[in-house]
Amino acid sequence: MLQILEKTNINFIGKRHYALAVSGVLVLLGIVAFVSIFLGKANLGIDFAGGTMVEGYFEKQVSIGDLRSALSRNRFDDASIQSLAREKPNYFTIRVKTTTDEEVTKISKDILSVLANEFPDNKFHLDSVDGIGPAVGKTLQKQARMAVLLAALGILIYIWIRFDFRFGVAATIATFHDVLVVLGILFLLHREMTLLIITALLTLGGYSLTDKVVVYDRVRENLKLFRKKGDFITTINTSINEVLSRTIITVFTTFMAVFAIFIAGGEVIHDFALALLIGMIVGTYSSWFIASSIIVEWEKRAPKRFK
Amino acid sequence: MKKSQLYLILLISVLIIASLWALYPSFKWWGMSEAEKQALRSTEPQELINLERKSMKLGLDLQGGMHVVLQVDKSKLKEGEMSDAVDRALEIIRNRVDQFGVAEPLIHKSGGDRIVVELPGLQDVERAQSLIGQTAQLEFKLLETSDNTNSILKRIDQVLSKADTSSIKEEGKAAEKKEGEQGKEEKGAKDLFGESKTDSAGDTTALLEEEEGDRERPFTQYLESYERSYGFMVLVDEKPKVELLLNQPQVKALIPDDVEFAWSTRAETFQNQKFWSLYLLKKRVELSGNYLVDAKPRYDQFRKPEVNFTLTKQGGRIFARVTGANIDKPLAITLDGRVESAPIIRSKIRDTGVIEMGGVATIEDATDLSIVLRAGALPAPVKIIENRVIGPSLGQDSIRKGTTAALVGFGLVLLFLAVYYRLSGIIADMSIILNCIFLMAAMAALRATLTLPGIAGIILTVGMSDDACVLIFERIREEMKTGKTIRAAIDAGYKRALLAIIDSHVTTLITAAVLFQFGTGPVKGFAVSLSLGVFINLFTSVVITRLVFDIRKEYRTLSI
Repeated sequence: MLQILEKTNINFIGKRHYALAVSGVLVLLGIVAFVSIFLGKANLGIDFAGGTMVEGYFEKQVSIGDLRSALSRNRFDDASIQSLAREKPNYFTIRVKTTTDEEVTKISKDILSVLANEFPDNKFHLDSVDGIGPAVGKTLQKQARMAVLLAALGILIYIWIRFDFRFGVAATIATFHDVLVVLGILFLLHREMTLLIITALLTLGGYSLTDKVVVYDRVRENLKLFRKKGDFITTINTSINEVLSRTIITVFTTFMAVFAIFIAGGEVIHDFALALLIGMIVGTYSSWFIASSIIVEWEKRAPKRFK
Repeated sequence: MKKSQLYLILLISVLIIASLWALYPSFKWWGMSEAEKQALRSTEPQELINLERKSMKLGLDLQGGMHVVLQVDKSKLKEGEMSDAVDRALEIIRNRVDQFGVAEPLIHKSGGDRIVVELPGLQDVERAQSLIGQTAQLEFKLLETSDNTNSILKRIDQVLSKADTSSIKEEGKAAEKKEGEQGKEEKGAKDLFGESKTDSAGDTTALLEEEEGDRERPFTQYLESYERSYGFMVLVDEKPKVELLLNQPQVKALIPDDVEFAWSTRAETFQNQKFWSLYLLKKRVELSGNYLVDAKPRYDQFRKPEVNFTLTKQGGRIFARVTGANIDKPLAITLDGRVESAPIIRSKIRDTGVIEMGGVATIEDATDLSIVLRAGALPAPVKIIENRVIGPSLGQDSIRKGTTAALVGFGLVLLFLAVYYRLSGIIADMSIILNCIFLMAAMAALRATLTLPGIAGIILTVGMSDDACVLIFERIREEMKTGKTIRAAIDAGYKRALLAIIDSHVTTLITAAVLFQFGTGPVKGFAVSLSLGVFINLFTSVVITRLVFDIRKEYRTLSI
């Protein structure tokens, strides 16, 4: 049979200090990202910041500079304009903050009429409009926070029931670690934070958790066998090594599937796929180096024979 | 083979057939070109509708359409009235949308005071938005008599000519900027007028200074009476000036408590001039739209659109009394405070009447007015706080790309499994394919909505079912290495792996459930695809593959 990995014996736990250090930095980045989002300094999508976004393409060539000055002349001087490379040329995304309580439909209508007035012989084809009033943005933020909290709680409780309190806590911490690190990386890459990204983060949380579950499952099984020998660290190392084959193959195949979305799925779910891809890598890394390391450290400080 | 295995195979076969049958309408619908749909629409429309209904529901991001969230304005409501008001508003809006004729509208409450309206496949977004958003309060009011009107106007003139115009000019400058934008909006949104750019809606303050010539009639100089009605014509350019003057505190103080000024709903064209009409109405509501029982759009004898309405018996009695007592006088019909028309009462009218809509209105305007009149007025005004519109081309684009990506990812995974696990891999592939078929059939049967993230969810499900198979196979390989017989290895493999599979599926379900609860639209679609996929996966990855292995247990070698 075809086998990618023969029996391995990598000392994962031994390397944990390096890993924890690296993770520490990445998690810090993630916290910075989180705080920035909270303060509104990050690249927030209009889902959270409120605002109006108009997407579409012009029939003829338009330079971004012209577009920007056209909008500035007509009250939209804080419009953020992006030129997107899509199938149709002259494709733009125009984003405007909503600071007032105006009807959101009016803002998008205004933008469109400005475009019609300023470029009279160059028709603008509208692809989509998103208008979010400031009140809605706040509600969505609140909901996103609730969702994350509930998911974390649910995970903690479930792992606790299935395994052990410490496993539960370690799993939750590791999952949070994954989400924060991915958040940090996305922040670094200046990706837009939308509801879809939150979805991706929650999904990868659940998904990377399954990795940890698989490892824990094996650890629990092996601990039963090695109870008499009592070498905790070796047991854990062995467990991780045993499931290495499965982990790599699973991640590899799922990575391929999501990679297909990343490449060919179109703009709308592009960032979503990116978040998942990064998440899978980070998740695997944390299953190997972080999740069990937490338990090892905990055991060192407060020894307790596992059943 | 054992009896239980036979039954299981039978069950699976039935499920496969059922799934394909459930999916058949979807494929047929997707396969039809626009022309074929057109053809079927004319010959057998009912069949087309049935076909559409049975095929999988597509989310807005795949179909195109409109999603708005309305907030009910509670400022004028009393404490306990809120939830009732929202419920009533919901029903009224549903009525309006139903009559508008969208295939599968989605209307529901959200939070204490919000209403979500989703109209998939909608093309005419602006019309829908104004249809949904208007309060639609219909009222019949009498006009103030000419004598009283004239004396009030004279007094306004007097007060203004004495007034200090500098403060008015200050206000004018501030109002100008706002008017300038409003002017552009009106032009852009309804490009019927097609006139050249009005810049800054007339330089209000400058002209106020210029026309000191007519200091005798600072107000009424802008008003022109005309024969057809008791209202006054105000040229489009001069409307902002008139509004500015009407807003002056001295003027407001002059207007008696029982009357109010009101503008017409639309600007009209007469002898190449565009103008609004200004009326002085008695505030008292003689008859309200509550008494309306029906309203229909029609063409009058000049092929101009109008709305014929019918009143209830009681409404008819009131109407008869009012019209009987006011023959030869005008009666204003107002909608949300603007005058739709103000015809002169020629005779006592009992329970039917006509709302003329003026020259520029289209039959669509008449239809829309009929719709809102029939559905009723909203108990409180609503404001659109969230507005998403997806154009149909973007939707189709997304479908195409999403499906391509899904198929590619799918193909890669299947290929890999077959190569790495050989025959067992092919068995795994089969189970994954079945997983997808069952998943899509379940979504079609449950009328679940497929969104673009939902397609991603399907791909993730593929990943998870692949994961389950890998877990099992790796375990079997391990067991075989320890020297167990094939039969024992398979048994052990499944047993050990099962726990881990269940754990991973439950944790994924937890996050999917949370997403379902808190997500909207596309996110919900993702949660649904993922959840369904996970459930079905438990069946296909474990049960079906187990079945196949059990049957092959008797063999001496295992291709894995």
